[in-house]
Amino acid sequence: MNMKAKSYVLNITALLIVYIVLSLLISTGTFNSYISGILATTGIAIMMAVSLNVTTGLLGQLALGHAGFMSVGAYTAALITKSLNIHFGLALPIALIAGGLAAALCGLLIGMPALRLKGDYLAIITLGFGEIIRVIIENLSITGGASGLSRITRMSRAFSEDASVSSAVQFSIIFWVMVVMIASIFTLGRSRHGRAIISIRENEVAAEATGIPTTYYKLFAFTLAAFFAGIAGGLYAHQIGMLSAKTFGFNKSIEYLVMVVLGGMGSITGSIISSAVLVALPEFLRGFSEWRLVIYSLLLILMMLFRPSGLMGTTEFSLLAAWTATGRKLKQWLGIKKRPTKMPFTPHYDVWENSVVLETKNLGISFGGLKAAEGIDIQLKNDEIVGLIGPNGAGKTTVFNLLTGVYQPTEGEIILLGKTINGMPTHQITENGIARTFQNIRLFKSMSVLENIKVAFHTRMEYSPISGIVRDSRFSSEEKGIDIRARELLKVFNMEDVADVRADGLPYGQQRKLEICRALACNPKVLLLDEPAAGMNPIETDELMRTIRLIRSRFSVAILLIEHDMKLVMGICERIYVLNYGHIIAEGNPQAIRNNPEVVAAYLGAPEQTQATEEVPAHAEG
Amino acid sequence: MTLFLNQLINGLHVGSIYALIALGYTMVYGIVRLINFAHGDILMVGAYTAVILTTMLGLPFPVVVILVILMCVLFGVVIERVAYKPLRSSPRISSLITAIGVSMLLQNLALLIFSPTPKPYPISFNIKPLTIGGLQIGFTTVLTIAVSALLMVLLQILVAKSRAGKSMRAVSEDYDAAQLMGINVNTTITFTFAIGCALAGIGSILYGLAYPTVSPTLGSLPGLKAFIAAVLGGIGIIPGAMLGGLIMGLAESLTKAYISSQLSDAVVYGILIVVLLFKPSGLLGRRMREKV
Amino acid sequence: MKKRAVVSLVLALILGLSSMSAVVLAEDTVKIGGIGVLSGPYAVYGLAVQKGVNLYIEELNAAGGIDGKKVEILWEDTRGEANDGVLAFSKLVENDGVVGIIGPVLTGVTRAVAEYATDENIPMITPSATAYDITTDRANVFRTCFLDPFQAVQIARYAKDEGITKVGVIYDNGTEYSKGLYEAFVQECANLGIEVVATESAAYGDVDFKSQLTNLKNAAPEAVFLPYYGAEAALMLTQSNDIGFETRFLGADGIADVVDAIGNKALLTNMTYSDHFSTQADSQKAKDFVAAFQEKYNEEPSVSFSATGYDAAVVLCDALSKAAPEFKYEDTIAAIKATDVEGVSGKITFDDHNDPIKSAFIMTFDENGNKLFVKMQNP
Repeated sequence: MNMKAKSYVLNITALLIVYIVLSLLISTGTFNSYISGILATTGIAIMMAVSLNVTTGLLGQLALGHAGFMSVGAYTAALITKSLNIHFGLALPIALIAGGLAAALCGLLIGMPALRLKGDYLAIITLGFGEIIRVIIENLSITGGASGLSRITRMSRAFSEDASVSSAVQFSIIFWVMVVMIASIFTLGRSRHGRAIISIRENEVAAEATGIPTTYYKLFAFTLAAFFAGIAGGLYAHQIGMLSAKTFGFNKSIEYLVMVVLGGMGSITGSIISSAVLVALPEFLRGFSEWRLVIYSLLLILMMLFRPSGLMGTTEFSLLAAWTATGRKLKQWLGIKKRPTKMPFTPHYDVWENSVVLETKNLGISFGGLKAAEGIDIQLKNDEIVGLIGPNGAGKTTVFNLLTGVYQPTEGEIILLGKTINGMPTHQITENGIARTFQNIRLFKSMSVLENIKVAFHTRMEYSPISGIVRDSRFSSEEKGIDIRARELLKVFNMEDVADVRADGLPYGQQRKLEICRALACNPKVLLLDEPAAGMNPIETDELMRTIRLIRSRFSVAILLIEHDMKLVMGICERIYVLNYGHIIAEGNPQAIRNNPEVVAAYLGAPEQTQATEEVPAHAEG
Repeated sequence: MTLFLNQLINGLHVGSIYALIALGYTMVYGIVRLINFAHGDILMVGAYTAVILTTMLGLPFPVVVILVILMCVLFGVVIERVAYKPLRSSPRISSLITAIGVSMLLQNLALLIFSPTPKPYPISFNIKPLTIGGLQIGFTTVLTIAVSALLMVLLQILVAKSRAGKSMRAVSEDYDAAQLMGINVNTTITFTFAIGCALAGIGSILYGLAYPTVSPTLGSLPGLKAFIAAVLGGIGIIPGAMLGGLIMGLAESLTKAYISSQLSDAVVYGILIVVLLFKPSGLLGRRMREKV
Repeated sequence: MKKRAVVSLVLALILGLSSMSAVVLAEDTVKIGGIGVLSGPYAVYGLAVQKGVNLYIEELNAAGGIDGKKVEILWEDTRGEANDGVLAFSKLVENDGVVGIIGPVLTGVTRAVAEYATDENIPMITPSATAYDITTDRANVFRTCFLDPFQAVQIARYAKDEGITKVGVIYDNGTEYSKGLYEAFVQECANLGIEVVATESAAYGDVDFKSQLTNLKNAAPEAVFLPYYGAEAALMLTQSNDIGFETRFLGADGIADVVDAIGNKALLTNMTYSDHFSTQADSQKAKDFVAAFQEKYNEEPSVSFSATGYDAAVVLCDALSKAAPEFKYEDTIAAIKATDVEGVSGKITFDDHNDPIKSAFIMTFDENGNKLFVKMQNP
């Protein structure tokens, strides 16, 4: 057994030992009901913090109504166990799952409108929804209205005559549900679905352009977080035995937010530690209870000022990684057949020489009264390298945004490989064969170079979230496949040795290369490069020219290139379109463009012009 | 009909106070893109200041007014310098969390210092309601509506005509460019906070006259509603805050009077959600596009 | 190394928790548990109870305690939350080994704790939880305050005695206390033939009642029933004055502290309410209590729960003295059931529902905010 495996086994054993020791202490009564109550409350708080972390940490959005989901789950579960006349041991799991599903449904209904917003607005709207849930519950008679629900069966009494034994069962239920929840979130976060969610957090525009259906994944993360909160709520109801709508107000949401923030948004381990401390500590400090909230708020402020990444930042404790290794070892041991490595599906585009891969007919867009682009007719043939140039503000990036669905055209048509793509969402356009890079480099900064590439393979993979959680053979075969492909790709760009470096740790030039590499990983037929040479010196620019030629031949893509560096444009483009004030004013080969008086006038504003090979320095904005 | 008019006036009264508070939110958001969660709690600070100054020190009313305003401004400026300024270049989520933290801190410190028992607001005018037409309008109502309207007019003039106002507008349009033009952005931002808090200070007096019990959590609900009002009118836009505040006040009063008081909270949050979904830039706002 | 740090943290946590479970029973004191809302918006009630209970314990100890042993009362704060109430209960019973509980104070919290108390069958006396179902099917739970249904009925009868035929009501739909009172009041009005001309409600946490009050004013009732706590009542009285709404106001026990929250005390002369106790009560015990309270705390027992808290302590300690020296739960409970003592709020005996059989004090204020005793309304 190597070192890594050894540490995994050690960690799993530690977990089991903690469980056995604690449950024994409770069942024999050495830990009285006060202590077991604290342990139960801690477990539930950890579940809530970890579930909130899915939205706040993984997705990167601040949600202020999380307690609302907990209350939906709590009330649903309580109402079910109160009305079902079967043995509690059977009713409880049904109730918990129902509670989770009810909360998930609320998450879905709230998420659909709310996730259209971002940042501050999303935070406020989730606050509003959380309060609305509370008001509704307070006014429904089925939930007991102002009095709430009471005499709910308690886990610490229902399983045995002996309260200690029953409390031990309660502890076990909470402990293992918590472990499963944490493990699921952990493994999901490291699957393709987790990658998709994190990429949205890092850079939503880039994620969408890399083929991730961002709306779907935002909803997915939000609903999942709600589901887990609902289960935690159900457990809460059956621990405490009574519910009141007021408990689940804004203040409770803030309590859990504090736990997540202090532990480090994005770190599951951090959430666990901070929840445990923040629940247990007040019990030790019962004499100072008035100071509790003052201390919390001070901690919050100080954390944001001095250590915004929280206790653990986004790093995880290796114990959680043990889950993966155990699964693998278990499968080996049981001799479960492994699937052969599944390479990602590489779509082949049915095009022949000289066919038009991308075409626009009379494309245009107006913002209010301003016509940013009008009458754009562009044609891109298979394997061509075409340039799109023009002075600042001409509308070049606007054209790119139209082509990739970031803007919806107000007139005209875009045809990709014979298919009209007007009105398609960006990620779908990417799936259909266009990929792009951005003027300001948009990488997934906290992800490694390799992971940035892997995001692009998302649409060509198939395994479900469940597969991602349990790490079955579908998961491993597909992940292995894209790992090979991604490394191959990096090798083409001489970046295979920086595969595990964080994307924002790369030098500028390599960041550009990575962005292009990621775009190519989407397996496009058309590649749009937005000012790839920006900020490069002449040597880097030469290398870029070689790279672009290599890309065209190796990957058989047509390239449309926005650039201000005339050396690059003239040196590499076979054809050039010139844009000014939203119109195409010229089209032709480099020679023709160089000598075109209108083009010269547009750039320099004067009739006399010398060498068009003069390098026009990269501008701040395009 | 008289009943309806009375309810309308009730709405204007509440709405005027919301408008005053909303102005603070909107000005701060306009200039530093921060939702100052703690703004509502400045109201509470003003109220407790009035309590201390009047009951413990026995100072006369005009002095108290000035000192209340100064205290609110002081708090606002200190909070800005200590908690918000260092985070100006951090991701928005950090500033938002800090603002929540400051709000919690203010409320819980007040709980600790003043105890949760509500105290009576020490200032009141024992003047009989005025009778205009068939309507009986309370003196406080008239005072509130008049003072708020006057302040809004003054603020508009300040922002549109004065140098300080120009700086404020410049910084909120383009932070970097304003700096390059020689505007001291730090001073301008502090000045904006100061004005916002001064308005909140006056708002706290008008609030105390209308709802004369002071408790540590006094500011959180009106603060939230004023924020919703600011969003409704178009956050960052001063006339928007005024319009939003009045609409909120009317919606709340009329819902309580004619539909159901239970629903008034739901209506308030409902308005927020509807606005955010259909016109996030607010009634008077312009759509801002993210540059790709 | 990080791992080591986390392991040590976990170990410390386990050690810490185990140390708390070591039960240290001092042999020489009788321990009673006190559970109440001592912090947060409703702390005024918990603190009042605490003062009353502590006063009695002090007097008892000065007189020799129970069975020669000193009585020790251990207080835990619920912060007004059910969850904390339950944890407080567990700590007192398991860790501290108390032989009886006084409290909790708030109805919602009491409900949660009562479940657990019934499991343990430990005697529990609440001085202030007025909802009916708290003592239903709970042989071990008692109270020294009258119930909401009872006081609402008494107020309606008082109104009838005053010749009032038209009333309006405004209540808080979000608290059980207010809603329960409202329902009982309206029912009794129907029995007595009093017309309810307008009903308004407000949401919990509201401060602006002008819309509702304007509607009520429009219906011109002779009195308005306000089942609220003092803070909101103060707002309503002030706002009614603002809009020129002049009428009588009727309230229940929670409204008593309105005098602390209102600025214009003259408005209080229109307010009449029911309470568990009055400092003007003329029994000797009451007079002694008021004097002792004044001496110890330098203030009058203005919140009536100080008196009911004192009485709860009286009842519990009396029962404990009968269950000495073992203080077994069942013995104490049986003794409480058979209680027949003179408390400061009147004679205390318990009915089949574990509720005290006592009268209501009808109170009002003078223009300086001093409480005035009006009459006793007997069941």
